[in-house]
Parts: sequence; structure tokens; C-alpha cells
Amino acid sequence: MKRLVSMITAVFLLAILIVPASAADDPEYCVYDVAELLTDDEYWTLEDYAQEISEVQQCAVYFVTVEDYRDYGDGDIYNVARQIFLANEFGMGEDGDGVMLILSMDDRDYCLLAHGFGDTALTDYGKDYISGEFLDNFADNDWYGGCLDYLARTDELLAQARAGNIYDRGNWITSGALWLWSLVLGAAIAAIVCLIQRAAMKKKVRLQTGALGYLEGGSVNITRRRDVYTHSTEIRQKIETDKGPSGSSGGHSHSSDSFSGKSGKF
Amino acid sequence: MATEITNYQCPACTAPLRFDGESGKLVCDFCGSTYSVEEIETLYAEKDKAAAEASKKAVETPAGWDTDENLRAYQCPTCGAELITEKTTAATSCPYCGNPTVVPGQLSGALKPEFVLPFQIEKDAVVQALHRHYGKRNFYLPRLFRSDNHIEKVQGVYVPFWLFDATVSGSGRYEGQDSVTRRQGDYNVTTTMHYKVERAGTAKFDRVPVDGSKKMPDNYMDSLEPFDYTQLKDFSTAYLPGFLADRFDVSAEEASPRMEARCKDTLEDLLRRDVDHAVVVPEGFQAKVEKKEAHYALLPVWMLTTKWRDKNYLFAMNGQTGKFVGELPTDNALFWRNLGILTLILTLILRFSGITRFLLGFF
Repeated sequence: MKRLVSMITAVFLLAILIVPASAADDPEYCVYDVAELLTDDEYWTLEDYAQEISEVQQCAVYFVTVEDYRDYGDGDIYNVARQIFLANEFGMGEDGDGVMLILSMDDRDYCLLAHGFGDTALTDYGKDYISGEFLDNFADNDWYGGCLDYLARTDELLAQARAGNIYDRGNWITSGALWLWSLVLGAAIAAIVCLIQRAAMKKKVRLQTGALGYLEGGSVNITRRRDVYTHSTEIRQKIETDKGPSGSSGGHSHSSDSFSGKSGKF
Repeated sequence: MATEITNYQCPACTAPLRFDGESGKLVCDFCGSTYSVEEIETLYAEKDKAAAEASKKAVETPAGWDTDENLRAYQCPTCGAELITEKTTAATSCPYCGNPTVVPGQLSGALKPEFVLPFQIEKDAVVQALHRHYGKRNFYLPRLFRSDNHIEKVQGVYVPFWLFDATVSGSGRYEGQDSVTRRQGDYNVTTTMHYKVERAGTAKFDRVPVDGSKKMPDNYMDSLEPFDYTQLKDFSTAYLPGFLADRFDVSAEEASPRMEARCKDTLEDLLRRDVDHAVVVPEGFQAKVEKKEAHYALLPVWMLTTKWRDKNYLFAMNGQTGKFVGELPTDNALFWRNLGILTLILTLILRFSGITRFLLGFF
């Protein structure tokens, strides 16, 4: 059954740029495993879970895997994800509320895309939080575990947003915490200032350790300078290639069509 | 009978003379006459010589107080009272008649200093300097200590110093590292080149001072540096009346290690600075003093003592430059009070300026 869905989906996704799909209030499917990374059981478990979240939160949550995103559109993975989302009229309600995670296996690219209420609920900070949860699983080829983390964390942030408490940088800071941290910081700065002031009263008497002031002008004579190359060492550090409009700052980073997303490699 | 002590008396009225730092002359406070150092040297040359001879004989045949190895007894030539001084005392004042007295025998022959740096700052200026030393920025100085005059003793002392000329040679070993970072595909590749580095060199030092008095705290004497050596004079006892003076009781050889350590430390720093690599890790340094010469000089120091809550506080002032040093008492209650007030103010500023919210936003 899952294989059939995957095949239909592949054809469907390929066709979307030619023939726009019809709009639907409830997502027919939430998980599109074109790259066939999941077993049947895993697929249906995730599909049911995604459907449940979509229904409860009234915001469609999608998980899409493809072999190579370039087969489905132009541009980078973020742009292709947008094209897929728009052409399939993904999302729920008038605003197309939805969240989509797409994995492209060829170059191990991913993009976490949000639209409508999904975009409201998933700030840049929120996307960082979610991707931080699933990336380690995907890096270990644990597709099922990674998707479960993605769905669970997305559900969590959507629920928070529905309750009026959007997960964003600094949102945990309450008035009490502000007072407490102001006191801690104030006390720390005050202690440093006072201790420096007190130390200044103590350190005026000390033994001299050098004699630079008594050096005869022009008397320094360097008689030997020897610099012998011995070896080299090399450190290679992988460059983080986060693409897409969002960074790790607070708030939202949008493209012109009200999408926001975070992309990178896993 | 020749006395071991010389009292420099005014040729006009025989009242005691004292050396005046501001004018650089000997002054008679009684009749106001002033005399140059050269004039007094000429007048008292014979007396000083006789006193030195008498002192030499007295050392050979000690008696009375002189049997205590740390004390010496003299007779004041003005009032005839017996003066008991420390063995190293070269200039003092008679506790009975108050006249400044000099013991030329302590500063003659092998004990004669090469140079003396005359006092240039008078006693009145010392007390003012102490109050400046209290300063407005010493927030934890007890208020009563600041307002009350707790000075118990202000004394000008010619402190024996060894001024060392030295040539130091040394060599150091280091590991040098230079790094280059370039992009290679999806990676930043940092290549670090490692070098075995050696530096050797010599440096000459002129007149590095080390005090030659056991009773003077080394850290205080070091803290008074620098002295302006261009004002050094050939030694004369005529600079001493009115001040205390001690001859050295730390020999040049005993003082030398402190000088050597300072010079080696400086050479080590100079060689290290000559190494031109981004990262320099010292691996070893050795140095030796090639040659050295010690000059014996008396340098001017004002010593002040105060007492606060049964604890003595010592201050010292460079008698030439006016540099003042000394640890001040701290009021712990004042410290905690200021800490509390500052904490309160900062807490309010941080809370209402939004700085705390801004900082926490990074977490």
C-alpha cells in the first residue's frame, strides 16, 4: 500500500508544476516517502501521527523524502520546497497553514518550510529547536526516529502557539526571572568593581621583577636568531551550510510569499 | 679627646645646621644663615677626619654598650649626653639636645659611599603627600583614619643602596606556530607550521638599585623606584644633618642575586619579544651575569608610621621624586555597604534599561 502511495506521490510531485492540484482542507496524505526510507509499519505510524497533529492543531504537517529535489523544481531546496507546497496547495484553511520537512537524499539536503499559522508558530528560533532535535537522527540514517522527533516537536510548538505562547528567543523570560537575573548580574558587576577598588589599595607596595627602566640605550644585542621549520599540522572543519531565509535569530525571516524555512544538510 | 660624632654647627651662632632639601644648602634655623655644602665640607674636613679616626679606635676597643653587637654608644659633643644607636647608624639626632649628629666613621674608608642623592622634598610636603595618598578613590579607607591625624613618626632616612652595573647574556628556546586557513570545498582547512626557535643575546643595565639595609622592607624600597640618577652627588656627610642615615648591612654580594634576577627577567622578556610568530610557547631560558660592578650610594627616603586599631601602617616616600607608597587600612563595613548600594543601583539599571532582557535573549 505504502509503495503505491509513494509511486503515486512521485508522479504527482513531478506533475505539479504543469497541472496545479486542487485545494483540500484536510491533507489527503501527510507523509510522502518517495525515497523509500521507511518500512510500511513506520510509514503508517508516522502518517497517522501527522494526520492527528494536523487535525488537532488545524495546521497540516508534512514529511517528504525525495531522491533529488532538483527533479521537482528550480533553485535551491528551499525554493523547490516552496514550489511543491504551493503547486499542491498544501496546508489547511484559507491561509494554507502548514509545515513541511523535505529530505533530499542525493546530497543529504533538508528544508523545514512553514506557511500561514505554521510560519507564525515556528519562528526562526523554533525551527532551530526542531531541526536540532531531528538532525542527529537523520545523520545516523534513523529516518523513523528523526521524523518522530520532527512531528513531536512541531506538535509541541504548534500547541504552544495556539495557546498564545509562541516559542521564540527570550520568551521564557518572566518578570521574576528578569529581577533575579538583574540582581545576579548587578551583584556580580558590583563585586568585581568593589574588589578591584579594594585591591588597588593593597597593591601599591610590591617587589620589582624586571629592570627594563635601567636598560642601557642600544645595549640589547641579539646574537643568535634561529627559526627552524619542523612540521605542519592540519585541521579540517566542515563549513555549516545553512541556506534559506532563516538564521538563528529571534522572530521570523520571510520570503516575499509569506514562507519561511530553514535548510541545510544532515 | 676626639669624639666619634660631628655636630654641624652654624659658624655664625653655633646653633645646629640642617640640610635643606629645597635649597640644597645647610640652614641655621636659629639665625637664618645658609651655607653651601662645599663651604661646610671645607670647614668640617678636619673634624670629620678626627671623628672617623676616633670611631676606628672605638671599634678596636669596645666598651659598655658597645659590647652588645647591635648597639653602639657615642657622646654628644654638644650636650655631653650618651647616645645609644644601632651599629649601622651613620646620622641621627641627640634625643636630649635635639642636635643633628653625624658619625663620619660609619661612612669613611671602605664604608664610604660613592654617591649621595640629596633630599629634595621637605617634611611639610611629606604630610601633604600622605593625605594625597589617602586619595578620593580609596573608597574603603576608614573615615576616621582619613580625617584624624594618625601619623606617629615622620623621618627622613638616607637608605644605603647598591647600584649595580651589569651585563647579562642569555638564550631562550621556544616553539613558534603560524597558521593559515583556506577553504577547500565544504571544509575550512587550517594549516599550522611549527618552528623550533632559538634566541640568544646580551643586554647592559645601568645602576639597578637594591637596598643594602636589612631593616628597610625590600618591597617598599622597590616600590619607590625610579630615582633620578642625574642628581647624584659625590658623597659628603654635609648632606646628612637633619636626617637619619645608616650604613649598609647587606653586602653587595648579598644584594646581587636580587639584581641578577631582575636583569635576567628583563632579558628573557626581550628575547621572547624578538620571536616573530603568531603563537610562541617558551620551552626554556638560561642566563648569566657576564660582569657586574656595584656602586654604593645613599638615597633619600621619607618613612612614616601610623597606627590604626592596634596595627602599624608603614608608608614610604621617595625623597627626591615624591613617589608615595604604602598599604592603607580597609574598612570592611564600608566595603559591604558600598557593595550593597552598588548592587541595588545596578540591579535597577539592568532591570529597567532592558539590558538584562537583551542579554538573556542570547540564551
